[in-house]
Amino acid sequence: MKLTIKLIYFVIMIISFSVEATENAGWSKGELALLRLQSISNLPVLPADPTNKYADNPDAAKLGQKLFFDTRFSSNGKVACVSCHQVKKAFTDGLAKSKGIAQTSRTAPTVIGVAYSPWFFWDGRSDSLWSQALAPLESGVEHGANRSQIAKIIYNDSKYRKMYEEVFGALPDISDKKRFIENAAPLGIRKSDDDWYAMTAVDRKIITRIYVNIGKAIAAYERLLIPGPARFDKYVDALSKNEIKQASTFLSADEIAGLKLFNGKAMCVTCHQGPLFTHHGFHNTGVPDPASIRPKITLKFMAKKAKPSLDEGRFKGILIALKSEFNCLGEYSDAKNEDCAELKFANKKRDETLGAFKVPTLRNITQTAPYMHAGNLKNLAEVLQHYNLVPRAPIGHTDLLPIKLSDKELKQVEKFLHSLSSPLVTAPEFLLAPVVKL
Amino acid sequence: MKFKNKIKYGLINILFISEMFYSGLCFSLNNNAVKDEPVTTQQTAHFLVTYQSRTQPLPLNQIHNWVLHVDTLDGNAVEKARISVYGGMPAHKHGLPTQPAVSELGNGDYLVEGIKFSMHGGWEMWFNIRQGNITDKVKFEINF
Repeated sequence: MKLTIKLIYFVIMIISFSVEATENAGWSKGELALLRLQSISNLPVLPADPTNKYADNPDAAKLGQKLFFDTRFSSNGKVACVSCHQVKKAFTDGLAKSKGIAQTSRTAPTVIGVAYSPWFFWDGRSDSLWSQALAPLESGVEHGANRSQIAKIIYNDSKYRKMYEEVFGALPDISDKKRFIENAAPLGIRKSDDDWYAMTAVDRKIITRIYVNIGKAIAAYERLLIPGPARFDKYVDALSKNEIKQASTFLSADEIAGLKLFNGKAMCVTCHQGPLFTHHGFHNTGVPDPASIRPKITLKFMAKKAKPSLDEGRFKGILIALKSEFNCLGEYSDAKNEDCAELKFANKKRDETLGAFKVPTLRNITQTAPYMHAGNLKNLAEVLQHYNLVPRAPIGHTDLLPIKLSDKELKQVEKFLHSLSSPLVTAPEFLLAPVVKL
Repeated sequence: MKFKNKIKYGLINILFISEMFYSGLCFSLNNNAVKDEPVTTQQTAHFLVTYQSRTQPLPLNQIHNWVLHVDTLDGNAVEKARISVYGGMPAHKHGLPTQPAVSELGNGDYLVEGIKFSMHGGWEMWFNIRQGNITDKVKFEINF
């Protein structure tokens, strides 16, 4: 090898490493730029909710907080929003199948930072935070309440009535029990449906409007639940200020290695992107569906009878959202037609939405076990193993590519995920049942 | 060249190539706008098709609209064409997160509403163009 060739290689190496110069604790300029995009310091101001003109009304948020913690808005007086969205568990409940009046079919997702999303529920069957808040109230397995019951509690309770009227204006008189029938609501249950349609269209709208405003107040409260800086963010912010020594106090070597894998080889960042570690979209990740697991020994007549009902996810969710009286284009929404692009142009194609579920935030992920929409993966190790192996989807087709990490690498990514836990920026008085003084 | 040297420079080569690949990967992820200036005009067997995003640069994870301009190969605006749109990420085997709609603006311009690219990586946008007896399709590649 001649000296000139040696020199060429030497120059190439110099250029190569200057392009990718490890300027800050082993991170290149490109990698650092990506890290900054993921820092909570880069979280944009909460976008306005055009469907809810009370979304940023502080009094609406106070009313919403009271509602969030109040078990009276349920059929047995024991279920509130906070039952499944517990403050200590990062607004989840630790159950594989959340339980209200009865067991639901999925695990409760966190509410922290959810106001940044255009879609709600695992299947995105609501397109606003307030319409999401309404659905559990009337669900038979969650609160088991109904809109007439809810309107009457607000009307008859002097504290609620005052708080409601301060935000939404005077409550209409709903004291006439013949006009406003108790427990009347369109629930798909014969008695309540018959009572509901026995009321005039005008009276049905009066009750529904109060119910909708309750949802809008709960949404105003939930918009306050924003994550604060975690160790990961402190690490990135210190790196950005070139405080290398300070940065190294926030993440361990294994956590940093896990972060590199998260943004690199494992490509987790493609869906879990931005400061909330989600792109708010829907993907089929082939999560095993308990309904697809048949008994090992099946008699012929049993096999015919047992038709497992698989969770169709987003495919069904978007159809529900499009039909909902509470969607962006509906009469109870405050939005203009042009504000409803997400709904108008939502993907409804079966082969692209079947078995797809919302990509969750990874903020506070260590506090929100069990994982995936079905809550069937008990811990983060199981989740990462799922992404490593990529099983066949029980319904539709998986969007995943195997990440092919070694056991050591899987452990490093898991360790990194521990650095995403943080307290909320929300004022502490909003994280407990409120004391309302009148 | 000695065998030892061959090994040595071979290794250096591999290191260099992987380094360049890695820097490309990192660059592709380092911001929320489109990676490279994409090719916005394509010629097909029958048409010359150009798109222009009404939001510049092409945004990541945000619904936006394009104007698609279709000319014949001799430069005449194509009117009253029936255009359908589809797309997705071939590497991930999934389509667009939205279902865009196409409407005619006139003078060969067509409004494509409701486009969204939700994640980093390579995307394809396909347009089927039908005018009279002629059917053609065009593909645009976008890389975030």
